[in-house]
Amino acid sequence: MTDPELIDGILQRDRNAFQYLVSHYQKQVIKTAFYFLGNMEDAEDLSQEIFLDIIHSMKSFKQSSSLSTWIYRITVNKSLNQLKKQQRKGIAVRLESFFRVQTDNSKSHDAEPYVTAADYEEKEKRELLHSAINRLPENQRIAFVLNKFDDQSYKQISEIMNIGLPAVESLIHRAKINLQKHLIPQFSEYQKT
Amino acid sequence: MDCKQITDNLFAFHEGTIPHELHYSIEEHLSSCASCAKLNAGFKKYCDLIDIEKEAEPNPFATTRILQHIESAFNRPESRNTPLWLKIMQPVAIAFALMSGILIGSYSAKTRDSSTGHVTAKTEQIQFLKSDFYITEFTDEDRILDLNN
Repeated sequence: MTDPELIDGILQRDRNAFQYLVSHYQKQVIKTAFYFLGNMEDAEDLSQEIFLDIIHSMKSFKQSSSLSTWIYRITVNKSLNQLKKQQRKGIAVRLESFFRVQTDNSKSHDAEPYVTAADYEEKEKRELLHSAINRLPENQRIAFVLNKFDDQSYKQISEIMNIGLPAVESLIHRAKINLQKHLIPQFSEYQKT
Repeated sequence: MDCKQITDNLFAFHEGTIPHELHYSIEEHLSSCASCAKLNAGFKKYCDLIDIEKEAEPNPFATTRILQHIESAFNRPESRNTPLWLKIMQPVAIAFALMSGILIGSYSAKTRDSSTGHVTAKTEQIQFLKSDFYITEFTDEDRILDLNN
C-alpha cells in the first residue's frame, strides 16, 4: 500500500488501512515514545493515543513532508506532552514511592528475590540517564534522542523538526556537552572539572 | 592533554567521531590518569545503556491492543458527541422542571384548603382564641380550624 492509498483509506475509515497503518508504523511510534519516556509500558499505552490522533488528524495532513516524518512529529509532540504530565505528577509519585519504600522495605526484598545488585545498578543508571536527558532544553533533547537513540540522520531530524541542517548539528553538539555536564557529577570521585 | 579536554570530549571519544590524533592522546592520558580512567569507565556505562535501550523491543501484542483501542473509539455510541447546546440545555430543562413542580405543588396546596372548606387560621385569630379560652399552646393540627362550623 502506497502512502497516498493509505491516507485515502484512513480518511474513508477503512479498517484495512487502519491495520496497515498500525502494523507498518507501530514499531517506529512505540520505540520513539519509549526513547523519550524511558518506560516501555508507558510508551505502548501512549502509542494507542498517538495512532488515534494520527487517524483523527489525517484530514489536516498537507503532504508537504512524508507520512513517516509527519508521524514522527506527532509522536515526538505527544511524548513530550506526556512527559510534562508525568513531571507534574512527579512530586506526588515520589512521595508515594517514598512511603511505599518505607513501609514495604522488608517485603519488597522477599517478593523480588530475582532482582540482582547489577539490575538495581542498571535501573539506577537508566533513571539518571533519562533525568539528565530530560534536563536538556526541549529542542536539544528532541535532536539528541532522535539521533542517538533512534539513529535518525541529521537530514531526517531537520525534516522532523522543520529546521536547517546546521541548526540540527549545533543542537546535537550542545546537547552532548550539556549531557556530559549533567552526568559527570554522578561520579563523585571525579573532582577535577 | 589535560583532564578538562577529557571531560569535553567524552561523547565524541566513545562515538569515535574525533580525529585520530586526539583519540590517541586521550587514550594515552587515560592510561596515566586514574581519575580520568575511572570517569571514562563510568561514562562508558551510560553510552552502553543507550545501546541497550536502542535494542528494546515492544510487546508483540501491542498491535492488537492498538487496533482494539481504535476499534472501540470508533464504535462508541453517538451520544458521546452530544452538541454543546444540548449539554447546556439539559441541566436548564431539569431546573425548570423542578421549579415548575414546586410552584404547582404550592398552588395545589392552597386550592385544596379552600376546596375542603377548611380555612387556615390567621395569627390574630389564634391570639384571640388563646386569650378567650385560656389556651397557652396550639399544636400544628390546631392551626387548621373549621371556622364554618
